[in-house]
Amino acid sequence: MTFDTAQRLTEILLALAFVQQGLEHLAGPRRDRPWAVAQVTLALGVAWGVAPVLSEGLLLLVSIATIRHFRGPYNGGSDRMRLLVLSCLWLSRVAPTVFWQRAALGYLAAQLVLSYTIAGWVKLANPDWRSGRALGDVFAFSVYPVSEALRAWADAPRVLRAVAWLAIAFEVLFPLALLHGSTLAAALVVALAFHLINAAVFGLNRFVWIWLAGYPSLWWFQQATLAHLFER
Amino acid sequence: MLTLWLPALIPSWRFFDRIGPAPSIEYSLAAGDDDWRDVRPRPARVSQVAMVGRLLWNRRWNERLYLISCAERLLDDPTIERVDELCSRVAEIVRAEHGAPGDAAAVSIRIRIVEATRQDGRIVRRVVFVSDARPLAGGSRPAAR
Repeated sequence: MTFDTAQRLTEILLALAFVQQGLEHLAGPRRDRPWAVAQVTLALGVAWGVAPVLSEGLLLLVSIATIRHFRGPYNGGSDRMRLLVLSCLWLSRVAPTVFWQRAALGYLAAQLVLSYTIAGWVKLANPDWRSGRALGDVFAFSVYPVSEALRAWADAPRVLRAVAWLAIAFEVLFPLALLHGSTLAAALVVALAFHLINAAVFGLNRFVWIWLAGYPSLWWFQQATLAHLFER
Repeated sequence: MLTLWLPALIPSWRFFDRIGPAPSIEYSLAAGDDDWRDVRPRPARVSQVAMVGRLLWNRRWNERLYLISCAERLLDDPTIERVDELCSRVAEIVRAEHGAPGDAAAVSIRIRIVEATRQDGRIVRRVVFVSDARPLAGGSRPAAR
């Protein structure tokens, strides 16, 4: 995948994520709608490739202003990743040299890897996660399970311990997937499945679309840099 | 501007590093303390078809998570603005989804935050915030206690 293709794919996927979120806000409280209108309009401009430096720059300003409007992120980590993807895209458009353009998208790829690895390490360091108790608490009393029926999983400690270790192992070992294109492809499929399960069980649908938007940059990054080192 | 942008440029990614107390938000339209209701009750079950549909349209749940974020920010740093934000958004939901009983201007709403946490192996729930009454139709600023 070339840099240009990765950049363009990221723009289209990011725009779709913005439109999906914007449409939800358009159906919500009246005070939130002007921000949603601005985001959806600009995101459509980004998707169509209309004056990318301007449309992405304006979308960046509107996104930051929206955080102020909501007095913080609306949906925590997914908002931060959305802003990160958009920032790196915009920087990759305005950077003065090819090196810095690629560095901007490479930074996004590195942060995407860190998003899994750090999340895995903090769980690995926590004895409650290693025993499965933390995941049990997520099901028992956290705000996330989408139905009361799902709370029953809190009573299956062995299953939760196994699931917790699977999640920890996947997240911690994710950087190793960069060693080869085929392992990265497999890891991204597993990662997408991980986000889909989180969306189904915990209602975190925004994470699916925004993390997916980061994948082209990671695919390009692996092929442009690490593939030359490890795939001979 | 930078203070809002920088956390996104240099994120921490410490998702679910610990499972802390979980707040839920309840409201009451009654004068007494006995009639508290969940703002957005969790359904008993969600079908697999609905789970797939929610990938594309999950407005109510995302709004619920946002209200939880508002509650957490309020508990971290209880300012009048944060109380206002949470109360007015809850009142909007109650008016929109449950209808205002009779004359909304004459009906008062209070909200409270209940935290669930694990203590000595048991799940304990306690009320950590109660707002003063304010008109359901919106308007006057409540005081926290």
